[in-house]
Amino acid sequence: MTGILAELARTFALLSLVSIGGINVLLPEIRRQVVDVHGWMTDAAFAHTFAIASAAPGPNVIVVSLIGWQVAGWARPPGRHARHHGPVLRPGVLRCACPCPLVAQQGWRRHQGTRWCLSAWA
Amino acid sequence: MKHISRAELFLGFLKIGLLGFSGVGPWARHVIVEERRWLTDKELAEVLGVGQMLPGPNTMNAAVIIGERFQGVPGVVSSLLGMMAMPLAIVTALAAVYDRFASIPEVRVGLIGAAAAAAGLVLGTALKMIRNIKLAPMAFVVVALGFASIAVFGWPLVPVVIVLAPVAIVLTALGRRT
Repeated sequence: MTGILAELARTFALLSLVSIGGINVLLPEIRRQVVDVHGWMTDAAFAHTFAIASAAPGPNVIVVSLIGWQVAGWARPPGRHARHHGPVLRPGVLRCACPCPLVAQQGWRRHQGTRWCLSAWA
Repeated sequence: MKHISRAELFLGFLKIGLLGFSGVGPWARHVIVEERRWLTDKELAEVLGVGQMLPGPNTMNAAVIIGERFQGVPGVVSSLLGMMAMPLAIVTALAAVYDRFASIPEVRVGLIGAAAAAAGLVLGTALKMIRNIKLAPMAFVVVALGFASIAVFGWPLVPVVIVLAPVAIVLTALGRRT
């Protein structure tokens, strides 16, 4: 179980670093990783997961949390109640790139108003 | 700069997360600019622009930047928790309900319909983006190459981007000179 969690975290941490432009850019790659590379779910299950995530409110990236829930849920041996620990752990998976905006905001504050910054945000 | 407490950040982003279906962008603007006046339209556009350029999900990047600006790192935690708490609970509940009733044929059919609609939404977004950015004719070569390598050949995204990005930049530079 921890093996799968670590693998999920590793996969999505890497994807998070290349996800410039938003979650839709990443969808084909997420599908490739989840279906083809790791065999965590079938194509149909992936489509269903994406549909459920689209039907719920919230940022589109919520689909990643749901994939984590489905994958670790299905990979688990019987003993369903233990599942409930899953979604609490997994949101951390999507936040691996958070240091990036933090650093950017610090840099922005320090250099705000300099010409370099103005041209970069223009 | 305005003083915005951590609780206000949490509640504001809670509302944004709850209201935003298929993307929180429009609601983020409504709540942040019009309703609570945390930022002006222009400031929000800057934050969203930076969020889009950085790696990671756009809206979460924006939430991190806004949370940090008003309350530092604790503000980041409030913003992210606020935005993700309810959607996570709802989506997991939906998935649990689906797990329970997946064997009913009507549920399966309904979900196939929803999946088709979701795929259509993504396609529609892509088409709208292509139309709005008014691409130069050469850029369509890059679009076609990108589409073929990902959708037709199923190649991994990272190498495709590493190869295509310089090609696109060179083509654009050449196009400008002539």
